[in-house]
Amino acid sequence: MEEEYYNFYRKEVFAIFPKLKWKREGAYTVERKERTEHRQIENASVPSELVYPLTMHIGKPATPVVDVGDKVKIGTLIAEKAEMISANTYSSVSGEVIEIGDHPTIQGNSPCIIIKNDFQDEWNAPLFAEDEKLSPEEKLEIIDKAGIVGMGGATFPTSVKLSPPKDTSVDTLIVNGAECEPYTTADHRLMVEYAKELIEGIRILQEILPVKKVYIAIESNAHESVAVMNKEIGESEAIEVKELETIYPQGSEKVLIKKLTNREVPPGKLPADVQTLVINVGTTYAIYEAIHLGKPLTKRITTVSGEPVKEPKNLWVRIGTPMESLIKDCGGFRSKPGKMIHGGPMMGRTMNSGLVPVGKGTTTVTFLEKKEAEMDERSPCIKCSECLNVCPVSLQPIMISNAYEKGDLKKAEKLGALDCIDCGACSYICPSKIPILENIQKAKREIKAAKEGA
Amino acid sequence: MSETIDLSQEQLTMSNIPHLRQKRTSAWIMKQVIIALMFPTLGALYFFGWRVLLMIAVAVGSCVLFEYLFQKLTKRPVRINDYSAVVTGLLIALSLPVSAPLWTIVLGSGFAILVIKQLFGGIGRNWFNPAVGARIMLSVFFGEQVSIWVEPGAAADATTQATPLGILASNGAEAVSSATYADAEMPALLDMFLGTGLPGNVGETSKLLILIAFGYLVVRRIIDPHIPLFFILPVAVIPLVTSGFDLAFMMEHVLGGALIFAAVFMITDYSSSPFSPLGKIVFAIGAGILTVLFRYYSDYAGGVGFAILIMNATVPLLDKYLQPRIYGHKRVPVTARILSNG
Ligand code: SF4
Ligand code: SF4
Repeated sequence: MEEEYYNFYRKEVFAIFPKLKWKREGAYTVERKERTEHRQIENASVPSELVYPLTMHIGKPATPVVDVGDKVKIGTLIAEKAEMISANTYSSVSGEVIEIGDHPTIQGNSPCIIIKNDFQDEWNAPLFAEDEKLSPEEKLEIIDKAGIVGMGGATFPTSVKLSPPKDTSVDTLIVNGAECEPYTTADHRLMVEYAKELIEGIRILQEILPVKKVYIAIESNAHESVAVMNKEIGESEAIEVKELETIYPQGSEKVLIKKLTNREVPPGKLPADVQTLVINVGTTYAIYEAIHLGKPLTKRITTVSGEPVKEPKNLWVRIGTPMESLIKDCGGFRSKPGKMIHGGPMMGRTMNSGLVPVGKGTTTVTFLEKKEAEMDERSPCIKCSECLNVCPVSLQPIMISNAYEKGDLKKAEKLGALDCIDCGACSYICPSKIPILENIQKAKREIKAAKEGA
Repeated sequence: MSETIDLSQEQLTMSNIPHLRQKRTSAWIMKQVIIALMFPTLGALYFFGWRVLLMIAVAVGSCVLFEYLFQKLTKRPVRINDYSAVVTGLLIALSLPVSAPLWTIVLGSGFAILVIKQLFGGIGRNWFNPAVGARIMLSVFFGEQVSIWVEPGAAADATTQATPLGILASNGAEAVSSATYADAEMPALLDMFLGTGLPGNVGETSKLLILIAFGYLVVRRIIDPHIPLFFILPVAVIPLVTSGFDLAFMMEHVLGGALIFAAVFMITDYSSSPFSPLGKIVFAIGAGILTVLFRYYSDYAGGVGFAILIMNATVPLLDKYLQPRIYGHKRVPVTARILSNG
């Protein structure tokens, strides 16, 4: 509580100037990282049953390559990438496949592989023979094989991202350590505790993509990691730590590219089209493990936090661990939770089952208190223009929302509905509690449906 | 899995993103404006006495009542709890002289709430600033009753005084001058700043208190501090240049009349100003330029109000043609947008 007061004074009273009401392309949301930002990463306990959804990535679901009754070890391939945009999935424990079927996931009930842990923790053979010398192309193949996807939550297959179209030439790599979601401290702890490994990971990326410049983007509220990373880099000229303002959604891909390179990704284009790639720090660490240790992606760091949690923590979690096991590791609840969110409170997804497993993109599990879970009643727009002020892509959110509510999809599209990056800053800031983003998302869906239908 | 923690026993709500909202509500924002208005209100009480309290009570009371009755009669949801009618009432009371008859206050309040606010669709929809509209309506139709500015401390029926702006109008622009204007002297700048011994509308005389209110609103992030500055800018620069860099003349314009009060409380009104950031700047500068024109070429004392009303009318156009450039898109030149009609 005292810390909250301190933060209030620091942010609201002393630092008024950056906080003026003015077009600022982002919202100063609550941060609430105090409870976990100084906590060392601990190992989460490994449950007796683990669940591996076939859709822990964007793209086609992976195809199971094991059958019920098969024995597996840590690092055994259990589902194979189905197409170009898909990813391999590995077992994170040793044991036996006991079921392949529907199970609660963040996408609702969907196909999963369930493995019974024998607690032997035996490892499968590494991804490649130890004394092998790898060329950049082979390294890219290993990354693909290791099942690595965007671990900041986007879960786009990393190997695809690292093979930009032939006609583009990427000259800037942004390593994204800007965690703008409230509560989340997983990337921050990773940078503080594994700086050396991250730099190794960046070196691998530099080999695969001969870029001129590497930026490590960190928000100013994560001071400690800025210092640690700077120390680790030393004299390197090509790698530079950039301390950015703490503002939501600073860590969003398009926003980062604009802030660091002053380039804007045109609508319908990729970051590679403006010679830039953004890779999350968690992903960079996974790349390090794959190339240096020959390990596929079987674990990740997840922050478990929120007011109701007794002992919030940063945890090394085996992928496939159900939420229930995590909350047990954190000592349970000190007050009644009203919402359980996969990810942060801004862009995460609510869950209502403790059986949902941690996936490759689970940065955070956030619990909100009952009273915060309830939404205030909506009232008429007072035209305060705060939604315009915070929109990172300079839309006029309420105008799109109004157009949608009036059924004018044409106008919604003209106003740029399809350019919205779903950050939710507009809905967060609105004093009249208008579900602006919800309306924009509906508008987007209908516009796209109409286009496909035509 | 465990006896103590069973998530299926918890009532977990599902929701759309974002799952968290900021705490401030529209009513909270209006309350902050009311708090800020307390500074000029205290000044008004100090300078003009207890009648101010009566004026405020009548104005606020009738604004809230009119709003309530309108929403009841038209079977709309009653929203007097959003405090916006209170703000309008306070603004009306503070922008009238202490001699204003109470019936003019009731009339102005009714006009502001019923005609300007509710007929346009209520909060957030009104094109014109209700308080400014009321003030203009009263001065046009009931000029005699609401244009008697008395010096603070004097009884309400004491001699008529010219306001500094009246003097400026007659001296600066060779407008029709009346006997009162000719004899009157420009008050000292310090008095104009502090409001001591200054005749005028009750809430507008002490610039010091208004600036304190401004500071409060800025720190609370209720208003954008740039907009008042853009409004005052032309009112400072044009007199400065036309007078051959006479700083005193400039300060008389800046401190004179309702300018500072309007800069803090009227030009920053949410409903009647544009959405687009660029539009807001054009809006404020435009209102500033019009204010100077009114002051130079007419002897009407409510130039600030008229300037704001005229700019209010341009808001839909500003919003249409000065939309912000979307990330990744090229800016469409304003001319092209006008030609393609939007
Ligand atoms: S309109 Fe879209 S991009 Fe803009 S603030 Fe709202 S959610 Fe974010
Ligand atoms: S929608 Fe909400 S944030 Fe946007 S202008 Fe209206 S009240 Fe303000």
